[in-house]
Amino acid sequence: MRLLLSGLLLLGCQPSHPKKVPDEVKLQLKWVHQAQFAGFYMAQEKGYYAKENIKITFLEGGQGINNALNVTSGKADFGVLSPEDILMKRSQGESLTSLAAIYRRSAVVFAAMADSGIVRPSDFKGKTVALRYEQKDFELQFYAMMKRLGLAVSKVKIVPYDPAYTGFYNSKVEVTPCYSTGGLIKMRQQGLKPNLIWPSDYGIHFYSDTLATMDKLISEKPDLVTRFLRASLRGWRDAIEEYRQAVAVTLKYSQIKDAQLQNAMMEAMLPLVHTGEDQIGWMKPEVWQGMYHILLEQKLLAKSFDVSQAYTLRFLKEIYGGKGK
Amino acid sequence: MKLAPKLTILFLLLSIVPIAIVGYLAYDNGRRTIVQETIDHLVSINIFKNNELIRWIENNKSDIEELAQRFLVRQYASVLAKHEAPDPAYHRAKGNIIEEHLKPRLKYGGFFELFLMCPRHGLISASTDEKQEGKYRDTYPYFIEGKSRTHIQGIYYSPSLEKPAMTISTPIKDKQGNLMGVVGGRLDLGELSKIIGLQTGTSPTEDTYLVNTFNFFVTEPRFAQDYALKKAVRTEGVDAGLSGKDGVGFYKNYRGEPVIGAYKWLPEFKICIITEVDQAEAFASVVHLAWVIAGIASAISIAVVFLGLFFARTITRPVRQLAEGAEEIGGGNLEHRVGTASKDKIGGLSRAFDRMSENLKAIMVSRDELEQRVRDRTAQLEAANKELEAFSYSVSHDLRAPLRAIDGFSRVIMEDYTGKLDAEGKRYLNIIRSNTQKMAQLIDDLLLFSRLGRQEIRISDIDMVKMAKTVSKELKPAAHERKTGFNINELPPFHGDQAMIRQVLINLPSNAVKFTRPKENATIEVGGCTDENENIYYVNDNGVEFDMQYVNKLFGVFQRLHSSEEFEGTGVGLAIVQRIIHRHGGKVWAEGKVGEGATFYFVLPRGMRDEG
Repeated sequence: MRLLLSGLLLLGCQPSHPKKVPDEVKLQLKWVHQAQFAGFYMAQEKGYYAKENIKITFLEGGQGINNALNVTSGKADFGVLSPEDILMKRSQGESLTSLAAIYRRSAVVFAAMADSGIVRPSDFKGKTVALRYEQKDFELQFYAMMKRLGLAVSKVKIVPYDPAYTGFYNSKVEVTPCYSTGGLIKMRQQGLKPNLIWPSDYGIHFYSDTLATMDKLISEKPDLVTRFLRASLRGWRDAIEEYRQAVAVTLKYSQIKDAQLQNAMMEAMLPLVHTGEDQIGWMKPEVWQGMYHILLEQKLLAKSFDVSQAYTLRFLKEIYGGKGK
Repeated sequence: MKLAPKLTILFLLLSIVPIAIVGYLAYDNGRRTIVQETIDHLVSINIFKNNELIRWIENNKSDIEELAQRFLVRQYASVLAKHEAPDPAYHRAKGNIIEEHLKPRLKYGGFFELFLMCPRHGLISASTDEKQEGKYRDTYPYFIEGKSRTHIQGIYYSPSLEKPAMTISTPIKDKQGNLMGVVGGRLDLGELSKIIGLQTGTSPTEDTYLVNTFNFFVTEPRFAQDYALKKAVRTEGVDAGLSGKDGVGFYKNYRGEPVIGAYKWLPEFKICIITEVDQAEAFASVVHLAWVIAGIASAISIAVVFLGLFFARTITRPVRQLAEGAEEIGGGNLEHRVGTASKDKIGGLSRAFDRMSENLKAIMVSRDELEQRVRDRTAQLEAANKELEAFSYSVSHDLRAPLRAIDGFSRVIMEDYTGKLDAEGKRYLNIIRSNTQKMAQLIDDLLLFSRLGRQEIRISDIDMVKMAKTVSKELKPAAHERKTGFNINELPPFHGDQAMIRQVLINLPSNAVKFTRPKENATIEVGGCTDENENIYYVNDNGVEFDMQYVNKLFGVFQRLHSSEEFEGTGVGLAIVQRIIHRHGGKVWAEGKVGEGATFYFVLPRGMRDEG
């Protein structure tokens, strides 16, 4: 019956509603294809973009690719960007706006060996901590956390960060930052059960991956923004609810066809995406405020500005009917 | 179709229809009752579990509130709130509150961690889990809300604990009502899962679980592990429950199994409680009921078939016997009797039938007796006839030998003793000889006559005209001296024994020749015509007539109307004619008028083919 009806509808409606040419949308990913972006793959695989009449192209990120620049330059329509990138670009005059926070908790965590006795930032005193020289998420959160707790960074011995954690494994490095969705999985695969120091436990709340676009697109094609966001969030909901399927879909895209690794990454990121509090993608002004202040403190912003311009709840409210919960 | 199966099927239909209706009504009623009972049971489980959940939370709430109101706890909390970490008083207070109040409380169960948060920034100043100390909870609802009243933060995933968590918090205030801290307790969700999942009966599929507004399992369902806050569930029941409804549904659950599910929205916790039972289990007793009803119906049907067959036989047996009896008697067996002991209408009919058979038999018997008597008489007569003929034949035959001897010796005497005999003697001898010859003729005629009685008739086509002409030529010499006219008219041809018919055509004209002798102008006319089924022939003469008074004696053996002196002859000729005509199935008669001569008629049936 339903089939018949839809058939009739198809027959009856096709001439009066000619299918529009799909809107071509390019999405700049934050890194190479991996489970981190599973929700976007799900939206594509399940036809949510097609349903919104969107033809999507994923632009891979990676070493040497300036994700934020690709969006501001118009090479990509949307970007999966870190909030600090958005805030910094905005302070430089670029009109980047965040639409939704996919990762509403930061995957940044500081690890110390289980037998090291290091369980909280105050224990860092006199210890070796690995950090990069550039000011990115690890460093941002580390300094913010130390400042928040009133701990002197000078008492900590900073050593270069090694993504292979060689120094950490042979105890030359006592504390290393890592992503709970990446490095931590590798450590645990090694059989380690490190003590974890989460910056969010010490008042440092950062979003990780947010979906952003230019103000121009928002003002010119708000409908396209809504459609794209709706399809993406629906894909993310499916990825969370059916994460095993999401892993399978991810393996179609990713270079690293390690199902076990992608699965572990997926499991680790589920609580970061779906916190059990609000709808997927939902953002809180106080968190943006907090992030802005940390960046300002660390003098990473070219100039101060109204942080509420860097994000908008307009589309989330439209999609979720105004409710975060 | 035969009567018995017809009646049986009728019986079956008459019984099955009400059985089917009653059976269906019973089944439907039973099914409704069972389903309603199942639904009531599921709904009551939800209410019961909801109460258990409230009781569990209330107990824990009052426990933590009691903790927050302890005098010493308030004292220590105020120390921790007013002093900084390096202060020895801070350390003492922290040690005391953990060792004397928080840790002892853990032993009573319910919580797996109890901690104290400072009013400033929500810093965890003391905790039963030492690793949690120093963390800030200023953004957490359980701290923000817990500052003013007892708060329960629903089930959420705690990244720092890396597991689902539920936290109750309550403020600690000094006598003046100033906030000294917030005490928090993390509830053991394993305990909640146990309470929710606890089986209320022996049902193998009953399954109760909680689902949050994001469609995620909050407690572990019965048939899965590690689902809490990791696995979403979207079923008809869950969606209905999450939309704020209380009710029951038939749908497929998270295992894809068809279930009856009761859902209830718990607004105070913003979660939905679901209790399901597999339809297979719920309907097992319905299926059982259906089987029982079907079994009873089948048993009754079988019984009805047997009863139907029995009654059908009782009714149809006499009818069938009657029909068979009629058949039997119609076939000729008059001895057959239906014989019945039953006193009903069919019994009466059977008895009437038997009486009819009896009467019929009596009639048939008397008829048969009569026929038999006729047959016997006929046989007797035939035997007597045959005997008589055999007798006359043998007599005739045997008489010829002595006759020849008499004639022979008479001639010997005439020839050898002619000299010794005088004329008178010779005359006597001649008389003897002529009489013996007459007797021989008589015997020959008798033999012929008797042979005609036994001789088989050989049928062939006879041209009567031709035969009459041939015979008339043979008779001419006898009629030679006189002027005798033979008129042979048309004679219809006939099928019969040629020799016998020829005898008729000799005897009748020669008879006519004989009796016309006194006439000067004798005329003999032979003619015939055809009738419907027979040929009529006549031989007419104008000779000596006979008195019609003696017409019956004409055709008798040795019957003579004239003396042998007047007309020669043995008196057998017409008897032979009559016998031949009779053997051909015909009739012969004569008519005569004084002065006008005589006419002999004979009629032969055309249809005759064979004597047998």
